[in-house]
Amino acid sequence: MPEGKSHKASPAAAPLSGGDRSGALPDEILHRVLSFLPAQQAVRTCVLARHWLHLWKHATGLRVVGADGKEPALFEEIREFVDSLIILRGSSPIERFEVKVAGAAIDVRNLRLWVRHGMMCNVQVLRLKVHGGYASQMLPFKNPSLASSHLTKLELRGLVFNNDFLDFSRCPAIQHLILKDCSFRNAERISSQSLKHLTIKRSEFNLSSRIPIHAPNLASLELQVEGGRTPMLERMPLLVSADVLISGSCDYCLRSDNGDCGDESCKGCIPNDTLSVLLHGISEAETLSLGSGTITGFKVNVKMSGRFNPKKLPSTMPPHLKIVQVRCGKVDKRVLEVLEYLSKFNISMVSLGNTLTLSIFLSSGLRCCGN
Amino acid sequence: MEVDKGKGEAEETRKVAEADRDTVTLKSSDGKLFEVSKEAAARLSTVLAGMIAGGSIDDNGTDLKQIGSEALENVVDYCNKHANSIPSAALISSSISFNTAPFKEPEEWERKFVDRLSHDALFDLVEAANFLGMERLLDVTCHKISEMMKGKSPDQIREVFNIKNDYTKEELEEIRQELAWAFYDD
Repeated sequence: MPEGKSHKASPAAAPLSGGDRSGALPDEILHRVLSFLPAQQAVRTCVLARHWLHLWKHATGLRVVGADGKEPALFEEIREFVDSLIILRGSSPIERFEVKVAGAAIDVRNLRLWVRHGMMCNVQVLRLKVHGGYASQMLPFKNPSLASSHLTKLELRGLVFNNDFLDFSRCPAIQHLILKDCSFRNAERISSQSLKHLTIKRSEFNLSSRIPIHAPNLASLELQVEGGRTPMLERMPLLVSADVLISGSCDYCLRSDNGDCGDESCKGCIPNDTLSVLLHGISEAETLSLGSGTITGFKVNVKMSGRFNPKKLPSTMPPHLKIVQVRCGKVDKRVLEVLEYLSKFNISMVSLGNTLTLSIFLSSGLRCCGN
Repeated sequence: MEVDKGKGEAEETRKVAEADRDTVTLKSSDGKLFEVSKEAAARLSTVLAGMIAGGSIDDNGTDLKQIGSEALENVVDYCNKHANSIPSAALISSSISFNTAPFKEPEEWERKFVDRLSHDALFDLVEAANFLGMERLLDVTCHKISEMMKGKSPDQIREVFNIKNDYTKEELEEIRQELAWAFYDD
């Protein structure tokens, strides 16, 4: 049967109420309607009527998800379906491609093939979410770095990245990168010239070396480190908001509060003559939230302490910083040191997100409000 | 709750003198006039943006002969609600463009907006959004149609949309065999 031709029906020609309004819509609109359905159901619309026979091949989005559209699909059940789908649909362009799969025996070769199909179809938004067989299982995703001038948004979950996968030099249009429940232990860098929004949640990093994050055009950063060395942020002069949470990390020095215990072999220390880990990136942010989730609390924040020594003002001044939120269990000597340090900048108010009520006026005029 | 607000405002602003207006007047196929913020119209509709930029807007009502008054009222209502729903901070951010941004799930107010529409009104609005090049409204309305199909059997979908099954039994059987991979759990 020939493919249905586009019906450019004007409303005047549309059937009266009770007629088939869907059949009067231009095919491009039906392609869009199908893009929101789980792929299995989108394909099955071919049996509705002749007009629908080939519409699924041109759906502008592909959703490889469970039948309810939200839960992941079982990889074992859906593998053959997706393999057939990508062969038979041809290379019709896809705006959005979502793959959300679960299973104990996910074959990464299929996933790589599916991702390549998306790239071939000029996908703009790619989501690949892998839910392993048991809670913390992640899938080693050995893949060359992606190359596409169309990709604008990439969301990945449950993957272990190989060394250069996160180098996006061949994706010049990418703006959004969202990585959740991923492992960066084997990654060498995260790098993109075009990236504007970066979210890294529930992720573990390399235990012995810091990976650099090179994203000079970043406007917003959300970074959660749950293990390994906190990544090293390179300069991000356009950053507007940053939300950094270091938790469950061993990335601090047990012997010193200010980040330099004097022992050169100490991996938790950031000696004063080395680059700051976070400050290079976040110092230009207007809104900044820094947090640590360990019991020792503030101790972890000495990650910044290579620059936090109140006696030596850092070379990286944060002139754009407007709001600093200090969250801590109690205000002790260390917190006061931080406040005194912050008072040297042109910061008018610091709020402490703890349960204490306090009002401190430091000699420099910094007003400090607790709640 | 604010369903009639857009309409009321439109009627009121129509009385305001012309000249340097920050609204445009649109005329439906049945001759009714609607007022919409120039800023919102330009932001949400590529066609209206082109007309505004090209100076082809008629102060006495730009003819939109393809769109009926009920659909046009919904279009205007959507534009007004959209303008009200965006935090000013987001508007300032120049990176926001509602005609090129990737699809995002409809927001609560957008869901409500399309949920209250009758079947015919929804399809009229889809056609109006398509005609006016309103990408976001097209996504929201198409998403609504897909929701009406989701989880339903072919028979149920045909019933919802009055689709006439024009296949023969043999043809259907042939399709099912050819696409057996897609009917794996039937």
